[in-house]
Amino acid sequence: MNKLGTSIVTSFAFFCVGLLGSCSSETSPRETVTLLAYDSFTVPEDAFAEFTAETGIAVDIALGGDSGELTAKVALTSGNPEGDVLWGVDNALVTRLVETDAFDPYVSLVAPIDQSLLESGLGMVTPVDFGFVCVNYDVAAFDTLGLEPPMNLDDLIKPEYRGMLVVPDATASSPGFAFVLATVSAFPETWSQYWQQLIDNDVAIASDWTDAYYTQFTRHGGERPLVVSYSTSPPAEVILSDPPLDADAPAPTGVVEDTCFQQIEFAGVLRGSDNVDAARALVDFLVGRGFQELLPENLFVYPVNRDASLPDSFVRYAEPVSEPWTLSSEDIARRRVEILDEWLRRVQQ
Amino acid sequence: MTLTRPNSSSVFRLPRLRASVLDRLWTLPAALLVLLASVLPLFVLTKDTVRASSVLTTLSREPVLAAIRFSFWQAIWSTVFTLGVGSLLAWILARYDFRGRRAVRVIVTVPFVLPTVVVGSAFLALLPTSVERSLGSILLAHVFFNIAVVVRLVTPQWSMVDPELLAAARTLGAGPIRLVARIVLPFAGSALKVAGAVVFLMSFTSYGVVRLLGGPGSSTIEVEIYRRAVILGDVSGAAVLATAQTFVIIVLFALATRRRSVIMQRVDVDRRRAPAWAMASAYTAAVFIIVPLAAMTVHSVRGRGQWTSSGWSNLFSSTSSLLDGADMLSAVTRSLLYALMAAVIAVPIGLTAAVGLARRRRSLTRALLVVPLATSAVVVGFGILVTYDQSPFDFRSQWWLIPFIHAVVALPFVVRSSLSVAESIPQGLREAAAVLGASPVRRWWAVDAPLLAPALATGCGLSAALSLGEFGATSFLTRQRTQTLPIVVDRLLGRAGDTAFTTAMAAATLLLALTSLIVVSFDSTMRT
Repeated sequence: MNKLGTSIVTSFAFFCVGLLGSCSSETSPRETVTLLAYDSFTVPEDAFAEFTAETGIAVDIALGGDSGELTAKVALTSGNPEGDVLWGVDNALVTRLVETDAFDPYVSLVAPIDQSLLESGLGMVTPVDFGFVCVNYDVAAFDTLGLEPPMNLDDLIKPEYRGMLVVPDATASSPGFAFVLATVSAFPETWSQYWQQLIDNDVAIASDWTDAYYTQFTRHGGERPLVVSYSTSPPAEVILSDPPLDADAPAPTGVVEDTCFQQIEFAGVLRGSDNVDAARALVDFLVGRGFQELLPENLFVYPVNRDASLPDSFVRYAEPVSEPWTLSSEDIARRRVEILDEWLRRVQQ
Repeated sequence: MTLTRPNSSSVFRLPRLRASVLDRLWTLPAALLVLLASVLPLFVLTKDTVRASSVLTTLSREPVLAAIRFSFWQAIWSTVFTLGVGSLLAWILARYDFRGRRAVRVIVTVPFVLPTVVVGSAFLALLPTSVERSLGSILLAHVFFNIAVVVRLVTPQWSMVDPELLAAARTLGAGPIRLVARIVLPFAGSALKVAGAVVFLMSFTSYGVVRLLGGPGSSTIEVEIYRRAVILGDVSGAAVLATAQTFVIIVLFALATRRRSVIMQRVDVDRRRAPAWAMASAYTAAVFIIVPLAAMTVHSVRGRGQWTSSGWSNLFSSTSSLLDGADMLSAVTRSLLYALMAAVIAVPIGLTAAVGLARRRRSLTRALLVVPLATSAVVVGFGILVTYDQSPFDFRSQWWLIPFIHAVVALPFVVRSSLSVAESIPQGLREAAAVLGASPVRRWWAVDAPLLAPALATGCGLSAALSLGEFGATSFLTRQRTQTLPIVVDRLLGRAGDTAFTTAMAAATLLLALTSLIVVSFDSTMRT
């Protein structure tokens, strides 16, 4: 009985200490602005130090699941948001938030940004980065096969590339959906038949990007040398290579440029934020040169700010794709459910 | 050697004491916790988003119907297989002694408390290509994750079967089938039913396994809920499905567990030396479970055909840039703190509820205790966002929300594991104490509390382990300052590059080690 008593008392003591500890750390005297972001938002800890030093406003980052989950949460809490600024809704999803009236319109004009990128924000949000979803190939695997990697979407349905491609499930992953959009953009009328040909050519559908890239792609021990990933996966392979690669070594993976779809990500002020001025200041900071230059090697995306320079790894391994497939945000929004249903019907057969 | 047939003690039970007011309050905290954390969010989300018309349209869509059919029949098969394999193992563990018996018991328990996100990919990588992405691989994974339920619930029952009873039956000419049907199964009857119900529930609501192993062709209701809520933006449809799923499971569960759970008596069975077939089966089961876990551990130190320490050193360095500098070590200490808090919340509430349920049947509380297991994590996550969003009840950004939700997830298991202990407290002891003039409070402190001590330890271990591994609800409520270890693993697995992968595997291995440590420590407090 004594033992029981002791353990109860100890447990509650721990509990109280925990409560006290956290309460004291919660009461920060500074003004705080909360940035909602998808969970692959990985910037250095001191990324906002300059912002806080200049404005006296602390930045709190709230992660909200992957970009789809984050979008669903923001749509649901429209008008009474969990944070002040949203980072990272992309051109495939932004209209859903515009339709649910989730934004307090704000387009930051403090940085030089291409007009086409600005327009894709529909006057509601500010573009902050862009990237490309492309078919990646494993250089070593194709060397072993003695085969040239495919050049474009048409090559993927040729018999010599049979059983080589793995695609993340489009109904569950944003790169998977982006690749479907690339095919819609390339074959506006016949994309569904194109998918039938891919299926006949033994394409594999992985449950998500992680499954496709780390389980099924030959570079990481799988059996398929072609995978739908990002145009920036090659520099990531170099930077995060273990053991480290030589500085002048070629990247172990490559990108099939003619399969790329452009993803644009936006930051927006959320309607219902109780600190709109701070939120706008934060959006200005996000497109500022200092923050933009952090993006390539941390988020593996390209800066929208034309003044921001690319790091060597990007210049060497991942120049931006010059002519990607694109669809307007409105088109994607209008056809999203129809495209997903049709795609699912094809792959479920 | 004290051997007692199940239920025999209840025959001699004295009439119950009149329930005091105090007695009626035992189950109240548990009921309130579930109401606030699961029922209310589901209700508010449904009320906010669902219009009457969308109920029928949702339930008549072909993909939805397909998901409902698939949920049922893969869950039925999963339950059949898990019960089959699990009972064999439970019988071996209950009847035979062999080297490594305790290790086998610990090993089969570990997968149940590990998140799919952590072991799923290791499991997938080991499957031969022919069974990948098929119903077979889903069933295999459900056996892998849920075998612990059967082993844990059924082993104690079969430990009570008197070998002489079996010998006597054999002498009288009973064949093996008759032995099993008339003696072996009846001894574990209700435990098997409860185990079957829990396995069915876990498989029916399976999300990670089906997503990872099923391919785009197969989706359960849970997967369909996610697809509707997140991908198609149809929160209304998701809420309809979630409500329907919760009701179906409550009803099925109530039907399957109508009878009281079996009274357990402490027994010291002399276990016989295991024959070769028994040892071979037990070791095979252990290998089946160890191999994916070992593969994960190897991946944390090996990449590109050579050994590396970068995964582990990233995990323990505060300067690694892999995850926004939020150093991963703090995720470890945070996970442990949350696990402790979840235990502190779930165990007292769960124990008192078990005591209350042991004294009188409370169907409502029993039904409520199924809800946290039956409601979709996505929908509860969304529900909490729209329920607790107004000051002074705006809890969405509160760090304590996560350990609180962990406690709710663990609560049904804590109650279930302590219920049999609570029910085995002889009513006569309390009555004797009452006759001797002990007040209700003193009766509780002098009789119930000491006898419940083993359940306290088990409950703490169970809730801590479940909290460490919780992924679904946490991923919807997490903030940078509140990342737990499974979230870190998931985020790392979302990045390209060797180092990201080995670090993810190192974090997963650490989670595995912590979980195993907890399971080992509470295993020693359990009987048999």
